[in-house]
Amino acid sequence: MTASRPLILDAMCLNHFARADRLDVLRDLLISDECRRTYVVIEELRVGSAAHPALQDALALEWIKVHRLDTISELECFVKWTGRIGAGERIGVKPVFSRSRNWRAAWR
Amino acid sequence: MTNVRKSHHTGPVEWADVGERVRESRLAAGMSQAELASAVGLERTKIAKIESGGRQIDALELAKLAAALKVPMGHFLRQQPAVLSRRTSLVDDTDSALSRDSYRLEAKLMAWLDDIRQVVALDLLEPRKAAVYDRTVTDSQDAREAALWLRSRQGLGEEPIRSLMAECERAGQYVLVSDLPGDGASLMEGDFGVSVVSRLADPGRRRATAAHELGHLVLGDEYSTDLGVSTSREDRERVIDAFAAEFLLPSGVLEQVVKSDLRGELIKLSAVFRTSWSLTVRQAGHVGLLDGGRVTKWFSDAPTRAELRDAVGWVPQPDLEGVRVPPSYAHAVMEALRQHFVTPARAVELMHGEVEIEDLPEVETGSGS
Repeated sequence: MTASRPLILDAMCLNHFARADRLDVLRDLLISDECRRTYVVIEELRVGSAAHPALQDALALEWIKVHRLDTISELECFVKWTGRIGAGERIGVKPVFSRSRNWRAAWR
Repeated sequence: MTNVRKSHHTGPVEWADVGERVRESRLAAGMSQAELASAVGLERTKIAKIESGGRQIDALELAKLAAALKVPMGHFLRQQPAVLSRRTSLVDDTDSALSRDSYRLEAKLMAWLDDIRQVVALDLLEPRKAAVYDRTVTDSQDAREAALWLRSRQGLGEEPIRSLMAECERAGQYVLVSDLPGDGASLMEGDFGVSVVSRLADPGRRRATAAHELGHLVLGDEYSTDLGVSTSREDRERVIDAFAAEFLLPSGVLEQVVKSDLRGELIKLSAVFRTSWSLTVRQAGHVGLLDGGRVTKWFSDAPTRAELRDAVGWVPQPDLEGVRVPPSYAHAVMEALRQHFVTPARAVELMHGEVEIEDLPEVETGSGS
């Protein structure tokens, strides 16, 4: 499974693999892909780690690079996305985030 | 009260625009750069750079800034509408509480427009076309005639308006009742209008504000109507106020009152039509029931709550209190939830306090879209 562009992992995905203690499986599955996550996702995992210490393992992964999500068009997509899930300003509460190009296709 | 004709966007948003929005929002929140820096966990110099457009922000910082400044995230990414820029701009920390309230109310207005656009884009709400009066309006009398035209158009006759929220919607203006201080603000977006009215004022004032903002829609843009550019802002607002007064309490009703117990009759009208005492007295002055001197004297002789409630047999008559959003919009949000277009958390946000998450029905999990 080779992607022509990087995969952006959301907190939900990392959350479940970390709490099942199978982040190694996730790594194997995505070995051919360049994987990234955003600071929003890192913050969600950090907040969640207070209740679920296993999430610390997900925070420590070095094979997932950070995608800053700091162009205006990316921020606009981020705002649009939070317009669907709500509570966008309360980062850490919502366990879902994907980069725009991954979810836009699912929109009307 | 602010009225904006359209939300013109003058070009793509740039970092300098984002910085300016952050600065304005910080001033509107009454915070220093150091206080904001502390609230979002950044150094003060970084806030200064963000505000000058010299530093990009990422999604997490955007979310934190929005939470600290109590504005939606989209607020920072929006060009200021052309007409909004006419209002007194927030320049420094000495700006008045009034201009800060006004800024926050306008930010709320733009966010409310975004909410409506969202449900419209889902094909769940088809906004009603604005009821724009097509005759020339040059003075208060013309505005009163426009109010009666709207009453007739909506089949209201001379009856009290039960739900101003619903009547505004029928006239193509979508009202949001907000907890922010201030009076109201409105704008036109294509064929329909949106307005924000503060819940913090007393019920009579709230209704007068909502009717005033409706007046802006019906009479048209203050910069393009026949009121003319030479008319002062104050005079324009007075014309709009005449519209609001006539819409809420038609002169024809006052002309029928029994003069032997004028105060008692006016109290009853104020209670039944749910108008503020000052509006009722002003209308009484307009039809000649009170002369100028008595109008001024009666302003300060407002009835007590008990007198008002007694006049309507102690039946509670709230409006724009529990209801925060227009009925068809609320229905569209519920439909968006049922069809999985939004999460329950987002549905609660879209309802602006009219419902809590526990009020929402269980939504079957399905494919959705």
